[in-house]
Amino acid sequence: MEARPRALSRSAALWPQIVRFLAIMGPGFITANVDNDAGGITTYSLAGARYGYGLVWTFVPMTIALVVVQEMCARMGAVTGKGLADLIRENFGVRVTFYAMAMLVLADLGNTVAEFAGIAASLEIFGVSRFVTVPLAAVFVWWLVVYGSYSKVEKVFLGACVFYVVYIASAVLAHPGWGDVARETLRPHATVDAAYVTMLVGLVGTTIAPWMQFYQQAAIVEKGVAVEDYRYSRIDVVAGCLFTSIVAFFIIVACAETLHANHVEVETAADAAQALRPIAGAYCAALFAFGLFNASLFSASVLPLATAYSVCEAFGWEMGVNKRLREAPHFYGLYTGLIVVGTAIILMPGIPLLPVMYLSQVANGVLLPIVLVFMLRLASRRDLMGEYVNTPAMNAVAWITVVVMAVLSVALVGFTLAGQT
Amino acid sequence: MERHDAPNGARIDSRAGAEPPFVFYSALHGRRVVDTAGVEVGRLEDLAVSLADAFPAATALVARRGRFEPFPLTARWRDVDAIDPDAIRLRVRVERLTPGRVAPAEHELWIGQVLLDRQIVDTAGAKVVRVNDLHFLRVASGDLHLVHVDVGFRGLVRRLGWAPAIDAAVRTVAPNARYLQNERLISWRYVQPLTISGSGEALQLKVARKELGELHPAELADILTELDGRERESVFRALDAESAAEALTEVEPKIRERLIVSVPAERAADILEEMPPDEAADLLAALPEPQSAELLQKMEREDAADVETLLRYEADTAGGMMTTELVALPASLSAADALARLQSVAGDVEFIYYLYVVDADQRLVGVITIRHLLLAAADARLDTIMQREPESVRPDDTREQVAELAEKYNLLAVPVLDAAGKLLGIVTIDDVLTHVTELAWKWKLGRAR
Repeated sequence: MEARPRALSRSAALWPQIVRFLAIMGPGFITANVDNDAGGITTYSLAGARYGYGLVWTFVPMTIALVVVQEMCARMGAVTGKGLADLIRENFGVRVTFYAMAMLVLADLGNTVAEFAGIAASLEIFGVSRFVTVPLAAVFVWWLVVYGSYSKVEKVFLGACVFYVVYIASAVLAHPGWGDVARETLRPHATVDAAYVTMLVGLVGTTIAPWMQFYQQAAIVEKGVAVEDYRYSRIDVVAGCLFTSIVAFFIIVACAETLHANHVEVETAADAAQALRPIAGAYCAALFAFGLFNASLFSASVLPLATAYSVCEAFGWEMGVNKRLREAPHFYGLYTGLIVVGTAIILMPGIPLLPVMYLSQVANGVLLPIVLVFMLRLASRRDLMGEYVNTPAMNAVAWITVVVMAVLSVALVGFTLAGQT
Repeated sequence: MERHDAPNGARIDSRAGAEPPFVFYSALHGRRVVDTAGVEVGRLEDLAVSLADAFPAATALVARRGRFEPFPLTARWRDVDAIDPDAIRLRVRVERLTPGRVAPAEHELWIGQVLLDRQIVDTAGAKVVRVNDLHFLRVASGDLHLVHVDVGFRGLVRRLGWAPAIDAAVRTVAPNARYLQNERLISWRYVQPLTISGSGEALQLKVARKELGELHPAELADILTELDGRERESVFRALDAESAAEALTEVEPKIRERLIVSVPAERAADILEEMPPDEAADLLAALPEPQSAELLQKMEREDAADVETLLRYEADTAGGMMTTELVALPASLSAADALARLQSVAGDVEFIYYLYVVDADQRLVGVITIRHLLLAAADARLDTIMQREPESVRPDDTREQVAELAEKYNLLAVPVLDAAGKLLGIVTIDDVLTHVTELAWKWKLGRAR
């Protein structure tokens, strides 16, 4: 055969394996970074400040559960080529789908509010009013996704996530007793009272959030990952999950050493910023504000969009940012509605920001077991998954997660009804 | 899009007390099924229909006692006596029913597994839509025919069981609301189901319906893009080679590579032969070497040779974009003979609006537009009516240079010449245009989901 420069350049590529991995990498890592959003940073800060190392033990089981759950989504995406909302609709019917989607919209509205609250809180450190920052941010996010070039900005967001490294540095510089930290991490222990359970549900709810499953599966499908290449995707997903957990863990350590040790109650973002004092000194507030602002804006761009995609997918409405407004009214309506309502809630006078962010994470914790049951039933079906069907070990971990989350959620509702929170 | 189609010669059931002839599946689903003795068999869970009919007739039903009851029963449709508002009455005893859900015959499908809540292609509107409800017609013989699929919002509300409440609410507020009349029904004639069986491996579309192949290639490409991976491949496999080739030239490169490797090599080669050589070369160049070599080998020798020539050039150059399918004629030909030659090749050649005049060594000496040829005297020699020294590019010229030239001289195609002036091929304006619009769209839409 004659020389074929175009074809040659490809086959001569060095380390084709690595190239292939890099091409497929992304969905897992992006999902992980969106996961460390305003609600996440807040919940981890509160957990560290209030309970010190009292909750770090949860990270071991939580990380295992996170990996199992996210891997299951990625696998379903690669094998079926369909989104999670799509699979739920096709296999469980319209009624179940409708209520699940209604709950997802509600929980994601809470999350979106939390993201805008994060934007407000971060810039209020600099004394800028939320009545200026939140509407501006809302308009920016909306414009960015509908008219702008989101994929480029996404790289900026991702780059700015290097910020999380400062928590690790701050935790190290605070010289915690690592032996104690390790002991606390490996020794499960819990208190049964309303505040502790609420915190626990919030913590799990922010780390394993329902939107993540929908978003990650959609991202894998969108990327067109083939089943043969799925093993590369799995590395991406597992690495992303580990990254999320490590960052969250160090946020708690940093907060435990600085805030909990000095009995600081976190009430505002400026309080939470004190966790960065060991590394940033007097600049800790500015650094924290930057990190929170980036995380909030990143997630505020992704969440309403991911929600609109899931709902439209479930109901068969036209969707996508390359469609015109008239072609996809449901899609744009939902997307715009989430941003507008989220902004409006934040701007209502007298809304305390941190509790709002925290409550949205609790809402997620309640929705999670329901989504997990759908996923488990889908991923265990051989007719759907073929040889990629769930193994009994995966099912065991996932069912334990479902049961634990369900028990925690019921306990939370019980405590709330009893008026103890 | 309200169209009521009735199967030919169908007489509408007008027995007193019977339900209206049209019935939605949402109204039948969950209805009690009772046998001759009045014993409740269960509630209707699914219906099988036969695709052998133009408007599929119901052939069987499944009844189940409760959601978690493990043993459903299947009844053949001929055993159905009457569909009453409160129950579906069978003309046999419960003992005569088949336990379990019967596997559908070749031409049958269970609507709950294949149609309801699934995506279908609306070939009239050239869109992918989701089925919210199904619309049946009852004829005097007792048969139930599937006539429409419902893809509208009202269908969704009906399935949720909220139709009476919402209708009443809307009627109170706005008695003439469009919502109340706005059924979005698609005639079964324009429906392309995407799955024949619900199970993973068997998820294969056996035949694409005629309407799907008759869509414009760009619409077909849009549909393929909108579909999810497996369904996309299933539809693609069911297309004939010509439609498949046309659609491939329109879809974006990433999808196109996935599609061509999703079919067996023999068939992929057939499809590549149907594609313009420049498109086929682009596609092959993007595949890993062993795969593209295998496909080239399986292609007809003549088509493969064209493609191989093009593969020598970089994708983004005139050489990489050009097609070797063109009309080249000797200068001594008369206009009438040229027209006859043109007619004989017009079916195979992609671009026929310019005729290229070459000398004995295949060097380009002039060009004639089809318009000039039609207006010329029948006996005029081509070299007397041709435009001499036409604008041209070299194989390694960039896309931008080709675009500039085409824009400056208003050309529909630009000839590509080698150093000796030999005509190698032409770059048609659509290939350049794709690039220019792609740039504009990339800037606007370059974003991840």
